[in-house]
Order: sequence, then structure tokens, then C-alpha cells
Amino acid sequence: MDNKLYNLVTKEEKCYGCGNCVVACPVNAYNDPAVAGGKGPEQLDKVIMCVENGVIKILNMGLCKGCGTCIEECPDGAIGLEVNYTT
Amino acid sequence: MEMEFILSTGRSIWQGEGIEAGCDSDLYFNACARVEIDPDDMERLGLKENDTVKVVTKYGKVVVYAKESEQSPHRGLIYMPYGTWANVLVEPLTQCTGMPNLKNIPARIEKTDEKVLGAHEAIKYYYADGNWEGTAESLKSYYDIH
Amino acid sequence: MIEEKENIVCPFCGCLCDDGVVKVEDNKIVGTRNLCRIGHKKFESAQHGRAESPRIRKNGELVPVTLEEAFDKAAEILVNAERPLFYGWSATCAEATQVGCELTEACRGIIDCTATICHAPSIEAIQDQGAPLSTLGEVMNRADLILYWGCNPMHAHPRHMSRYSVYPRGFFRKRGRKSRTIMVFDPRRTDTAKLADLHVQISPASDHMLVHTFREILNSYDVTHETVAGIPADAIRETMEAMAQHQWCILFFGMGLTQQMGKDRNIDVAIQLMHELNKYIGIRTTLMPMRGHFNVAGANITICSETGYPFAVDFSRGYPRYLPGETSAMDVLYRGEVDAMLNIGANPGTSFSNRALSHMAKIPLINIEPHNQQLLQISDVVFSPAMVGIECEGTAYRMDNVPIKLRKVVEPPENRLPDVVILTEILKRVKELKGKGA
Repeated sequence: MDNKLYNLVTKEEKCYGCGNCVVACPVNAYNDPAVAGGKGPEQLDKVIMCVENGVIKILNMGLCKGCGTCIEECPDGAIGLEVNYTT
Repeated sequence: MEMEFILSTGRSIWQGEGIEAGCDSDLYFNACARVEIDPDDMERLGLKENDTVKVVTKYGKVVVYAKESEQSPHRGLIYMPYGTWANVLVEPLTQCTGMPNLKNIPARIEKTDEKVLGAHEAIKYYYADGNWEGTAESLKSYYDIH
Repeated sequence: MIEEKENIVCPFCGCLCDDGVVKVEDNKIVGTRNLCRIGHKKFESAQHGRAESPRIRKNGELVPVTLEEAFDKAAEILVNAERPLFYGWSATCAEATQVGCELTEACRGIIDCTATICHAPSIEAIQDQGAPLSTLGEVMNRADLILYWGCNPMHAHPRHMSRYSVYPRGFFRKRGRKSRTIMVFDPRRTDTAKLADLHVQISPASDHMLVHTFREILNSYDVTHETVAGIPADAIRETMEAMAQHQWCILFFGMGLTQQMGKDRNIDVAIQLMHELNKYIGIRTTLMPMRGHFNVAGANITICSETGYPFAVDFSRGYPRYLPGETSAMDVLYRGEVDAMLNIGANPGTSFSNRALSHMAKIPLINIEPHNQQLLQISDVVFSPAMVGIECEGTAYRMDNVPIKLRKVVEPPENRLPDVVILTEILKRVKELKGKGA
């Protein structure tokens, strides 16, 4: 997991828990129809992230392909993409 | 140094979180006892983050912390989250709609060394002890007419 | 063992998100999923810092008393008052509001809900002009142009954009956010504006002018000024043209229109603009007020179905009268007419204007509110009820006037009664006392 090219980094203290990133993420939407329609995820093992305790939480980093949609949809910079050039 | 502004009040997510955490919590105090000023205006006023300032309108005065606005630019506009402190400053007249003017109130800011009151203290100081009517400049004459 | 309760409705804002998961261990809330920061805080802090029993002010201090004593005291205050005000109703269930209407009638008082300081002008404008309304489901499936005017959903309704309007993929809008255009009209560059395709940064308090300029362009008049509301006339024309490229438009509007000069007139022209967009260009347009408290729409609907008017209903003559600006909570408080007040499901300490609070400090105030809010400083009787949607059930109305049943998540402690029971007990005593006097 650590040697992936892209890594999502989150800043919980900044997060509003709005879930924009969860719903906008194409991987989440493809894997879980509930997310595609705007709801919270129902199959937690198939989505990249969900909102837990009011802030964003990464569940399955391995599914992320680094498209960056979530970053565009966060107004506060609570989620970011880290590129791991060494691998 | 003093400057003229337009005061706007409104919601913020931290204020919402603070209300739910309880009005005597630090979360609420930090979220609401503040005035958000455009970074350029902060510089012109010579203010730093967390300086105590006195916001004065025709309808009251209150001491709060100055904060650099994250939702800027909005030069000439200052913003306070709804709460005990903003309420001291708003225009209570409703112009026959039932709604007081909570936005677009002429205001000025001055630097001060006075202490910022907590939520419970502020309610006690301004209303239970009746100090608010003394802070309002031009209300007496208005209510005499109406 | 941690039990996960699914499909819990969040009782915070008008969105009433109904997909929350709340984790409960031994009747204690230990965590949530899918709820926003504020919703999580609501559930997390629901069981902390709550008073055990009702309290009455004696010699300037709030002293714990028995429920019976508190009911008697509250009824006594209400019966002795000539013009009591019953305010709030927005953070409680519709059933409680029904009892509240009956109580108001019995006391010949005034009933008003928190809409009076949020969307009262919108209701007045809708009564003037009519309004094309829709549900949030329609927005999700159809809207391709979303206007946020004078509201900041990222802060006030954090899940509004992701759950209902902008991001979900709908039947006709299969690509979600990419199928839609978002325009934000706000004097600040808000967090919502940062996500929008177009942010029109108008100068404060000039919304009325800008809407009228849009209407001028639609009605093929020339715009005579170079800039309107701080926006160049050409940019306004281009914005109008961009709007005209769409099929289904919704206007979400908030406090930016209702809480400043113009008030209901701002909404009047906004409704007319929507009407003309529909008439001349054929964009299907609707509008929706962004309601704040979770049941403020329900308070309006319930009071309307019980009395015939949505808010500010005066029973002083024995029959309901409705005169916004005369009988609304703000006006009766700042004119100093009210001589007793009951506050339920609202927090005037954070939302009322100075003059109103100043008068409230002088009159007896009955406060039915679970948390330790700053209004306790001036309250005389305080009840600590069970929280609707967390400790008891109830009906609430979403911002698009869809009723949703709130669930019970945990058991309330022994002494905490639901709002409905508290009000019914007070009503019973008020009727007894009134009967004796007659």
C-alpha cells in the first residue's frame, strides 16, 4: 500500500464532513450505487473513503487511482493527493 | 486607527458545531466571539490575528477577536457568525416584516485592550444587568417616536 | 458491544439527511458515520452536559425542583400573563407544535416559530407571488443549473450539495457534478463559491437591483448603467445568456436575501425572475428556501394547518389573526408588549436581536431546551426534555416540505420527558386554572 504512486492525505481538523469527495469520487460511485445517488456508502469494503465521526476517513487506499476529483471538490483543502516519486 | 465597514452576520460551520457542543464550550466561544476581516483591511488597520477589537454600530458595541477571513476577498465588509456577540450589534427594527436587519449594518472597528466576554457572561452583562441600552447610541430617540 | 443503527435521520438542519449510521454502546452514542461535522457533534454531545431535573429561579438562582412543581409554576406564569408569546417550535416535532397551538389558544397568546428570523420574508413573498416549488429528489434528477443566492450551504447545510443537489448522479443528469452548472451570488468568496462554476461577487445589499437587471435583460430593455451591484452590465448580460443555455433551473436562496433591506421584496423579484425565465426562455424553473432548523418547515406547516396561518399567529381575540410586523415575535418583543414567554426548540440567545433579548430579560421566561444554552441566564423555569430524533420519535419536515419520521436512537434518562408530554401537562394545568377563574 505504501509504495503506491499516489496517496491521499487528509486533514481532519479542516474537514466539514460534507461528503463532497465521497460522492464525487468516480471509484466510489462505480462500486456503490448508493454513493452514486448521493447517499453515504453502504458497502464499506468497496469505497475509498467515507465520512466517519463528522470527518473524512480513508478506508481503502488501494482502490484510488489518483484522478484528483476529490481534491477539486474540497473547498477547504482537507483532502490532498501526495505523489510518491521514489517508487 | 478606525475604519468604516459594512457588517454582515451569518452562519459558519464552526458556529453550528459550537452550538451543538454547548454554548459554554470553547468551541462555541472560538467560533463566534470573532470578527472576520479581509486580509488587506487587517493590514491597513494594523491588526494581527487574535487582536481584541471593539466593533461599534449604531445599535451597540462589543469586544471580540479579530480574525483573518478565510472566505476572502471581501474588502470593506466584515463578517461575524450569528451568536451572542453579533446580536449586540444588529439592527432590531423589522420594517413591518417581522425580520430584523441582520446584514448590511454600518460599523466601525477600533483596537482595544478590553476583555472578550464569554457567552453566558455576555448575556448577563448586556441583558440581565441591562447594560445593552447604555451601549446603543441612537436607539432612545427612535423608540420614543415609535 | 457496539451496535450500528442504520438509516438514522439527523435532526440538525433542513436537509434531514436520512442515511446516518449511529454507533451505540450500552445506550451511549460512541460514534457516527455519513453525518457531517455538525450532525456528528449533535449526536456526540447529546448525552453530555444535560441537566438532571427541571429548574426554577428562586432569589436569582436556578434551583432544581420536581417536575410537578415546574409544571405548576409554568402554568401559573402563563395564566397570569395577558399576552404570552410561544416561540420556537423548529427544533421539536410537529406533534409538539400541535399541542403548542392548543396551548396558545387556551392562553390567548401569540405563537411564532423561528421562521420569523429566517424565512418569514420568503413566506410573505410566496403569499404575494406564488412559488414554483419542487422536491430535492427532482433537483437531483433534473436540475442542470443550480443558483445559490445569498446562502452558503457548505457551512449551513454541509451535506446539501453532496446529498441532494450538485454531486449526486440523477436520472437525467448521469454525470453528477459535470452535468450541472453552479452559480453563486454572494458578497464574500464563500466556500460554496469556491466550488462554483461562476461566482458573482455582488456588493452588499444590492441583490434587489441585480435581480431587476436580470429581468430588464429578459424583457429586452436596455441596461442604462455601466455597473449594477458592482458587476459590469456586460457581465450581467453574459450571465443571463449562460443561464438561458440550460433546461431545468433551481434557485436556492438563503439569509442573504431575507435579512437585509428589501426583505420580502427581494424574494418577490426573485420569484418573478424565475417566472419570466420559464415564460420567455422555457427553462423549467423552481425555487427553494434553504431552511435552517430541521423542522422549521414543519413548524410553518403545522401552525398553518392548525390555525390557517404559517407563523406570527395572534390569539388575543380568541380567534387567529396574522399580521407579520405586528404580531411577529420580534415586533411584540421590541415594542415590549409581551409579558411572559415560552421558548421551545429554539435558541434565541444566539439568534435574537439585542432589543428583543433586552425585553426578554425583564419578563418571566419558560425555557424548554435540553442544553445549557446562554439563555439560562435570563430564564425563570427551565425544563430539560428528551431530544427529538435522538431520545424520542417525532415527525419533521425537510426543507422541501417532505415529512420524515425521526427515529429514536437511545433511551432517555428517567426524568426527561418528550416535548409533547411537557406541553400537554402544562396545557392540562392551564385549563384547570382557567376553569377555576371562570
